[in-house]
Amino acid sequence: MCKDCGCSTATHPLFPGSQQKLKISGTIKSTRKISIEESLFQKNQNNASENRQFFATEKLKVINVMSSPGSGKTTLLSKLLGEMKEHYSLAVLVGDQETTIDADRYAKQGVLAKQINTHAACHLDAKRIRENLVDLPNHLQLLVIENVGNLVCPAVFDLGEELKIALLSTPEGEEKPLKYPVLFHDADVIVLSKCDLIEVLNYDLDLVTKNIRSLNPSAPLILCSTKSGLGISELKETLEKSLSLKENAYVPGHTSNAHIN
Amino acid sequence: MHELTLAIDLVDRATEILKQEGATEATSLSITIGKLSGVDRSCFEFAFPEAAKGTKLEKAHLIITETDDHTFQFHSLEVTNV
Ligand SMILES: Nc1nc2c(ncn2[C@@H]2O[C@H](COP(=O)(O)OP(=O)(O)OP(=O)(O)O)[C@@H](O)[C@H]2O)c(=O)[nH]1
Ligand SMILES: [Mg+2]
Ligand SMILES: [Zn+2]
Repeated sequence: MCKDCGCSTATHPLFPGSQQKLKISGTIKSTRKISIEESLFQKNQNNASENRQFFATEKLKVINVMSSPGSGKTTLLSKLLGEMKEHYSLAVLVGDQETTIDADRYAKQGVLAKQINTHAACHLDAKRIRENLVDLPNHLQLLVIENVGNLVCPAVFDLGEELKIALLSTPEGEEKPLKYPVLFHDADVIVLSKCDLIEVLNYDLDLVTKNIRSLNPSAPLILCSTKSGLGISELKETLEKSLSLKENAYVPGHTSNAHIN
Repeated sequence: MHELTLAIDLVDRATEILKQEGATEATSLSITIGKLSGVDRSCFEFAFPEAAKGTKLEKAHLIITETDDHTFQFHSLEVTNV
């Protein structure tokens, strides 16, 4: 018996390698099998590769920040980038299904930000990023993408970024990495946010560390709090180091007309 | 639900191949979904018929193999020629 449709294997119309006749309502149809062997992420992957190429020519460093809704991406990034903008030419693309609330919050910190509304979609994809690059200034050094708040879907879509940051906030509990492994497995930097709540929540730091390390043994794990300021300079230094930002200093007045199309 | 987007991409790609091959319609598609691919099998199974509605894949049987890795792969397409 075939496990896919319950037919007996010998008569299974899809029997591997079959080149047999199927009798369908009186007419004889021949079936044949075409081997394809390609990734089903190919379409997004192609767009991501184009983005990656564009970022390389522009010497633009790109970070993709992903986490659950409300885990503190905008609060942390607007604080961090509000400081980093003094040294680097940077901008944010921020994805939410609706509203420009987050872009306005970045703007309030003096950080150049563009909102992308995804409406029904639960994530940003490489094409969406490319479409929005044209509105950014030409001489950027650092582009931070705040993905749609979602622990699952954004992790699946490569945007062409160089660095993936996964955030996990303490109120979400210690076992989230195990329940949603893909994001934490793939992250280059992991931030534990809202660490000012550790005591109130009786949060088990050893347990969350063990859970994260079981999936990702090597990514820097940075404890942050936007209330106390904990971890913000460590995060800044980690990004500067991982992306070699200092070696690629922004030269004021330099402009490039290269635009992706 | 990103599975719908991905199911539409699969239907588009398969339709392209059907055209290249001059085939009438697809009878089955064989794909692999890895546990770390971020694609949910049951969501995808739900989304596929929606994406295939009104296309040459409408009657196609979706055969899914599961693995433990990042794989999300299109293996083969079985087609009929009248
Ligand atoms: N206690 C505490 N609260 C925080 C911290 N950082 C952010 N918050 C609060 O968490 C809530 C959500 O923060 P946001 O920065 O909007 O979270 P987000 O991840 O950008 O949310 P989405 O964009 O909707 O996914 C706000 O009420 C913040 O004030 C922190 O370090 N400690
Ligand atoms: Mg936000
Ligand atoms: Zn989704």
